[in-house]
Amino acid sequence: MMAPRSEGGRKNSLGDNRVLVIAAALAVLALILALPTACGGSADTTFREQGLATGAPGMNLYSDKEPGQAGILPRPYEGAPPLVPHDVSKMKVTREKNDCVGCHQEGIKVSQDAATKIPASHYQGTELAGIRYNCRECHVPQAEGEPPVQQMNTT
Amino acid sequence: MSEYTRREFLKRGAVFVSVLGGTIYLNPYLDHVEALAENLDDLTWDKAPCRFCGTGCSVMVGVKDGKIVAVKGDTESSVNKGTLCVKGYSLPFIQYGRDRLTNPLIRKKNGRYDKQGELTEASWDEAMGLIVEKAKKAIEDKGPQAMAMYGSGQWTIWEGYAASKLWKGGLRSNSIEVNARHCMASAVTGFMTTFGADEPMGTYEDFLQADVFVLWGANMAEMHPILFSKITSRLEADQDARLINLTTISNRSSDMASREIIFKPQSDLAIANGIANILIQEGWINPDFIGKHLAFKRGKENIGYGLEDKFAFEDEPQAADFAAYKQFVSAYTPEYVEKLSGVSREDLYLLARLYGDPLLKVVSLWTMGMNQHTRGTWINNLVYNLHLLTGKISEPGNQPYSLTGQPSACGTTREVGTFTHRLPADMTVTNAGHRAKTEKIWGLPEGTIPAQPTFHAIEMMKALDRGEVNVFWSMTANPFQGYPNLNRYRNAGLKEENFIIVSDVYPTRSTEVADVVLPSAMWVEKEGAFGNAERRTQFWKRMTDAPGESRSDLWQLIDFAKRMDLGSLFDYDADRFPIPAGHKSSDAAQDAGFYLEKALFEEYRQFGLGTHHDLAPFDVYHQTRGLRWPVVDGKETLIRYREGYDPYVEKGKGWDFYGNEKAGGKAVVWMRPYEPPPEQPDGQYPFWLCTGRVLEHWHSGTMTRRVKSLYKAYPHATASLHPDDAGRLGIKSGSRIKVSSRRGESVMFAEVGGRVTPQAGMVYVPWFDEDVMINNVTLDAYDPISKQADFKKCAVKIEVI
Repeated sequence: MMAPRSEGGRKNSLGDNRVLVIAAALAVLALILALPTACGGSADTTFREQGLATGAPGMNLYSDKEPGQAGILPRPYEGAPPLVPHDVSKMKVTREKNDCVGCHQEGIKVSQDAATKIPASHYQGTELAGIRYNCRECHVPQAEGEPPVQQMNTT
Repeated sequence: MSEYTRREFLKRGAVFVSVLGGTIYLNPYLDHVEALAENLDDLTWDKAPCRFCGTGCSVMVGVKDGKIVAVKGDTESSVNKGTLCVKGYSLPFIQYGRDRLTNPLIRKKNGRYDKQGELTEASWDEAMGLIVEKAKKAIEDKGPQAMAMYGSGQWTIWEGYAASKLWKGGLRSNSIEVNARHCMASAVTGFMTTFGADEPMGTYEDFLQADVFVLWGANMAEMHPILFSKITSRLEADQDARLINLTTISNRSSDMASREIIFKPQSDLAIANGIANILIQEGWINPDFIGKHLAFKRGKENIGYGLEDKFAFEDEPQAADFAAYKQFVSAYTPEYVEKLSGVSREDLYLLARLYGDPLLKVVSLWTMGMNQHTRGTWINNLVYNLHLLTGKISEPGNQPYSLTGQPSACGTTREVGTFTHRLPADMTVTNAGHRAKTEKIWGLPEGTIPAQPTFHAIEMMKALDRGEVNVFWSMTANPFQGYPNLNRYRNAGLKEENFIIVSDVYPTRSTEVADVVLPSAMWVEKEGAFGNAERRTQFWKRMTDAPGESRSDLWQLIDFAKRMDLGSLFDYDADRFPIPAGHKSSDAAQDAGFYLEKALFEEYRQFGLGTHHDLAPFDVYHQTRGLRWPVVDGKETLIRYREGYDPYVEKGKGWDFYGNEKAGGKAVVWMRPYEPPPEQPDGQYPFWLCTGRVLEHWHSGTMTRRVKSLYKAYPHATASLHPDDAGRLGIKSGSRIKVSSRRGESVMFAEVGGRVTPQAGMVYVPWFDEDVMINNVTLDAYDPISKQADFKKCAVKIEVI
């Protein structure tokens, strides 16, 4: 929440070690409490500053599940590029080889889930179009954790 | 990619899957993707350029019940041909973060403005009234330069134009700058000193015809993905096409490269001179082109780094000749270059051969690696030298290509000229003729525009700290996260006598410092125009409503003008600019009662007509996917300075670098030496720090980190280290570390073997994360010519905590 300012801005600005786990937990709690009123408010209420700053840096922890073991993630909206549910840390897209194409070209079924098939729009004739070759430009994995600020229009 | 290797992929994939023990068969039900959005026929679709980088992709925006619910790549745009990157696909979410600012806010205690108070909701009338009170006081006490505007390459063209007119012609203050100073000022000074005219000669079409791409410190695979996809497309179409990734960091662009060449920070200056030396020694130059189209110059050396307040520099160009130039570069032997850069003789020769082979078409590409550089102008000059000596310029597939990072760094800040020293169409305030032309178009008395620049962006903040600027208004920018050596400037903003205004859409690190926060309308909530990195001017219409009390920056500027008794600057002939029937007008046009955007653009257009900067009439841009200027007789220009392509080049000339018209239309080859950076790793601070971005986040992350799928794709800024350094320091991925410099510190987690691997002795930290304020650590040294800061090099230490 918005505190009166001290020298250097927010008390919990980074570069300042006082914060960490407790602050992060408080921030999350505060965030949850603030959510219902975040968009509202009238002229006589104090603005509640949410913002993205939690007071603590984090680590990006991605899924270590093998392809086929990770399920399928919902798309952000109809027509949005599918998100990558599985571990991609060892996979490469180089000029010589594209590790995504193997499973996704034909939508190979692995255990319960089939790999999402590369759609016709991505092809030029029988070839994956060159402009679509670098799959990682659109298809991104998802790490643990939720954004500090939620969307109004997500369902 | 050959048929053979494709089958190989499939085979590998199949093997991979069977190792996992899964059942292998083809799933016929998953071929949908874009088709779904196409079928949502209850959406209203309209075009807009993407809100993010300088590529300028065109997107189709799908609106339902007044909300953006989908986007798709615009198949009618030659920029992106129906594709988008992951940020582009996330556009439907950037407006809708739950903490969207919807009311003006004033810092108050006990119901009154108080620097130590809390941000409290207020009316527009109260907020603007307070701004006007503070502005009038600052101007009265210290003069108009004390009232500063800090705008953005994300301003629409008419917002930047209105701000420039209001400041330079209304307030009579040249205290107007933009965040683009930190982004491409060195590109501008590079263009101006070499060609006498700003912005690239080529377009993205050149990528499709090049044989060789050389990336000079630009990780395009992450930062310009759609342009990188044009490169991959070219590499796929031609097995002999090559990508060379010349970089200080091993990154994703290397994955598609035929050669990755790692060089030491700052040594690009030596590499470029070393290539030029080989070209001359081996006779791989184009004497005919050199004789007809080039001039040679040298400038001052040992030019400093701008670290001290009120630093001033003026270059003194002196004419030289080819013999002097040849002598100058002869010092850059492969041995000397290797010593400075770590680049081997073989790799230097490889580069020289590629630039020198007359049968190979070469596109060189760069962005922040060359621009955020204390010798940024010089390295821009030096890469142009390579294209000029070989005559590989201004023809299809042969181009030096300076990319941009913001959607309208070119269209707004460079073309409109929203810098302290500039006026529209490459003109400057120091030139009496330029001022007179501007005053005439603006209908102002002669002598209105002040002849002296005041503060460039870094100096503007220093002036705030010194008390020479007292009111600082940031629009569409995040200076209190983005400035280098940030501690000093945040403290400047917090000084009791200073008054900070931030117009933005979300709470940011800058609104923390602000005394007044103004909620802005963004992107398709207003009518707009951006100009991309291929001189393409693109328009969009207003499609949705801004939430609550939000107002466009244009509305804010004009409301401020009216309250300062300068509203007449924006009085246009309402009969000449009627609002078309059924048009969804912006707030500013509604208040004006006429088509304000059109009036501003048609006035602005007068600057460019007949001056190599011709723009088409306003209405044309709403009917096209943009046009690349100069637009003459309704036709856009794909290649400047070249006969047959550029309407300004007379028949028989071949090439004409008409920006240097007075010097015979010749481009300038500059003698620019290697000079060391101001701060280098030493015993106390043994590592280089390089900052930058990641694919998923744009700038300070205020939009992208509010989009769930982008946030989760790369939630936090981490510090990437070379495995050898990490091993030596006992650091693993996930170790909590502190990176500190002589100026400040920042805490984050380490990453080893992640997406990027810096060279040994370097740590890479992106700046998008509000919890990792890495600019507390960076150095505010700048290029004395461009005044652009170097965010890529300073000395730090790393501790495990």
